[in-house]
Amino acid sequence: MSSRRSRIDIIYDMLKAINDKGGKILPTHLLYKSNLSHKRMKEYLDQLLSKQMIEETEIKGKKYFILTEQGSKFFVNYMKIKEFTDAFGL
Amino acid sequence: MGYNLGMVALQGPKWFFGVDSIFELAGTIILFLVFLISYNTYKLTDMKRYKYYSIAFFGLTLGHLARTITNFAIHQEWFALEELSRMFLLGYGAHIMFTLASLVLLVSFAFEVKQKKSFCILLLLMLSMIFVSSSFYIAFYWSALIMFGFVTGYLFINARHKKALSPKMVTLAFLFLTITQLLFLTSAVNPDFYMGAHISQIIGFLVLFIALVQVKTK
Repeated sequence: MSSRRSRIDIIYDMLKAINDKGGKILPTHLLYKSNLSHKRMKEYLDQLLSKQMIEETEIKGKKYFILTEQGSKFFVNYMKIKEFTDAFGL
Repeated sequence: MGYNLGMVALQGPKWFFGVDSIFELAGTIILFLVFLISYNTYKLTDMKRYKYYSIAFFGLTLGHLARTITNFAIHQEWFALEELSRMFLLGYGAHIMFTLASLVLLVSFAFEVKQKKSFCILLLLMLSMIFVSSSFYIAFYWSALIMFGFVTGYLFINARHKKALSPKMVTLAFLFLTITQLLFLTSAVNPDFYMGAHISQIIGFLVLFIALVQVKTK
């Protein structure tokens, strides 16, 4: 049985989902890929938007979430962040 | 319990004076590295817990630096005899204040004390008790021993649930740092413990450094 995901893991999974889709994703696809309830995904999306890790944009009348430079930095350094977080019990 | 500050602060064999400053400097650098990693993590995540952690380790770095400079200055006889007591109080006062504030922050973090008022009361109570004590050096190491002990306990519980080696290394490092406080405390009784405290401390910092290398190479 896999252990419960931490906040850092969930953020990583969401950013990875966007990255795997070439840097932009539809909200419905993100909901499916991040494996969260609608309510929890909304909470995380608000957090990612406020921390400027993602941006909201409209392409041909459809809403997309785009990975920002800040989000990419987090994504690339995820393993280091996770190791540090685990090591110090943060 | 009427120990004079100078009596208990610099103990041990004469040849060890200077070596302890090198050990202290190495510790200061390692604490600064933890601060840097924590601060970089805060910049990447924008999460408050990393910010508070980086503040705690910056405080520990400053506290350690204050003691390093004070000890080195005394060994090198930078000050005239009449100035010595004042400089000693200033250096060790800064060391105690920065270290205690940082430890209270770490303990608050471990016990999820989120209210700033609770943190302030805890810190003010501790500082006032230490500075009105007739032997504030002893009172400080006693307080540091208790707080390092609690942080080590928290890290131990954390490490039990983690498969990676780095949480165990960090716990081990903090265990050595806890033992260090006990040895500094008992150096008032037996001067040889002063050297033991520095050896225990440098082992703790080296283990912490290895854990940091593991984090950075991930």
